[in-house]
Amino acid sequence: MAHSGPDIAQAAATPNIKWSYMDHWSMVSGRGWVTPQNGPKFADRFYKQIVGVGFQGVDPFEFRLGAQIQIFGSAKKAVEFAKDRGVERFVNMFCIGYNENTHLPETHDETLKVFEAKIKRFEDVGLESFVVMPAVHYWKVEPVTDEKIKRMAECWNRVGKMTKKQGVKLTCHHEFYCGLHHREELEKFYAWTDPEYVYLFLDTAQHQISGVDPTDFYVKHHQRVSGFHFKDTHFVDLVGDYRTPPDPERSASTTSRWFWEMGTKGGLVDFPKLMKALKEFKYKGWVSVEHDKADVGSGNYAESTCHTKWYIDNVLSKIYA
Amino acid sequence: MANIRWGYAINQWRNMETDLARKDQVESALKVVSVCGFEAVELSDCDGILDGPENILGHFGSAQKFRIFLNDCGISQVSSFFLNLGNGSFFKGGFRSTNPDDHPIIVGAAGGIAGFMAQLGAERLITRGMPPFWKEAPVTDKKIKIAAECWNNAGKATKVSGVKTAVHVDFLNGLRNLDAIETFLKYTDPELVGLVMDTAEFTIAGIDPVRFYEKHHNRVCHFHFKDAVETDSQDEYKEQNAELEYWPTAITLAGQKRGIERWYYEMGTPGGLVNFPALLKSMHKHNYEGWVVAESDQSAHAEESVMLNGWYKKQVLAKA
Repeated sequence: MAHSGPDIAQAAATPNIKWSYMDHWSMVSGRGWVTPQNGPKFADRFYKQIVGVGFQGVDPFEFRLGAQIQIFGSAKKAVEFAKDRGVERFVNMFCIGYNENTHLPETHDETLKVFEAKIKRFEDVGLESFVVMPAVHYWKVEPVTDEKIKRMAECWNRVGKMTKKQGVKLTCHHEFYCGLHHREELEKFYAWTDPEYVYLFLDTAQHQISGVDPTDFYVKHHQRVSGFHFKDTHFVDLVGDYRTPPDPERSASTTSRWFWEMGTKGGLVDFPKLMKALKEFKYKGWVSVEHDKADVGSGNYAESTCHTKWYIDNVLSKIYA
Repeated sequence: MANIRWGYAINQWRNMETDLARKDQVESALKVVSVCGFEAVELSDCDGILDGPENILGHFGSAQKFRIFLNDCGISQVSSFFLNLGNGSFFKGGFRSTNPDDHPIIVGAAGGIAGFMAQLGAERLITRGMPPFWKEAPVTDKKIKIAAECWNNAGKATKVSGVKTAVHVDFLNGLRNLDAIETFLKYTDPELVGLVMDTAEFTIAGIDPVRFYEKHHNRVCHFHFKDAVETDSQDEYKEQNAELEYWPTAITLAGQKRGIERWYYEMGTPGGLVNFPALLKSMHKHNYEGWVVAESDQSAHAEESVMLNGWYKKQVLAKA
């Protein structure tokens, strides 16, 4: 009871960090494995489980949120359905359906239009950010030259400027197989993009796999960071899996399961160290948990989610909350 | 059943993005199909690493190497390929067979994919005739005629590779009522466009497969054998979002309000509505020669479904 002073109580009432859950969810049904988008009763189960274990927000994929909007008839109704079950808001949407060849300037006008359409389609959701993979698969763009990185930066500067005017941050997520994932490429990209318009969405596992220390990267670019995917990995890509066609996340030689929930044996990401850095720079906002392909090898999302929330509550929140 | 060759649709293994995402998963599925007595597989453009030339070449190196992989698993060839193009799906570019402006893209894609699939042994390119009914209604004679033109042209393009274009009727599609199907047949060239008879889809749509086949046997060039225990007695195909666009595959929401979680079942399911022995008898009578593909989309357990269908094929249909 030594920690129950007024300062602590106040901190608990206004936390620095809120936890959101990136929706990769699947569950068993009478027709086998389905996602929450297979109907209202499945969405109901999903939201109740996520809120029940203590998450406050949900990060959807664009195609999943799009399906929810269709099912419920409007974005407002889709949001209401989630809120009625205790979800505070949809926070970050992972975008799809744009030309990822951003190193080709002739694609930029079309990409801007595509994102203008996304702004309109999701305006009633109240999203905080659009998350994008800012470059196409490495094997499709290599060699990654300065010239190509500059073209990518130009593209996202334009898109980010437009989305920011509409109140949505444009933030970049660097898959380990994306055309921008080595530290040197990342540094150039963030040097050539406008901090006003292009943010960094730091995925701990993806950077770890790429050989980039997530904490070190955060410390250097903390002012650009608009959010996180907290997930772990057991492997670093030591053999150039990132350039495996067609899909290194699913078919690389190192492992069939790159991503793990926090707190597993063999996990490489030093989350306590990162949490201390968040504390040092007084990060305030949402941190998202992502279980990407947790079902590979007979795992399941409910179990992974409970384990990771236990880790948050019992390890990370004691460092910074 | 000498004129009939049996295949199995692999789409039932692909519900989540992690399904059919690696070679070992594909190998497992193929071996299950093989050991249960099916010699070929039907692929679709939703089937993970088997969804078309880019992924197959990326994972296996060449069509020839993929065919060797199939053979090593006990599968002789690809029987057919299901192309979800022209039904308006956002995930496939939003192209509609009912929009003449989209026809060149649809036809070009059909011709291209047929050329590749022919190298794997495929003899049929399967496609839905129109977008879902709820999006396309009212389904007019004019729309059917435009869609027919699209598939006639696609049929020409695929014929170059020795692959016949076959239009699949399903109960949620714009092309699902008997009148519409017969109009479509009238507007399509029998040399270029055939029909896929999916026994469950016909049954759910209220069309008796045996009677239909007796009348139109000369147009049916491919079969999907699966059962149903309910029909769409409440016209749920008309409802908004009856079929919802989604990735990796569309979601069927029709029927959920009355608790129908799955529409499709294995052959021989108690309460099944399809009279498979009668249909097979009719097929023999009309000298059907070609593929019968068992399909178990919406299966609760993929391997169990193949085993049950394998049993029915060997123990019931082989003796019918």
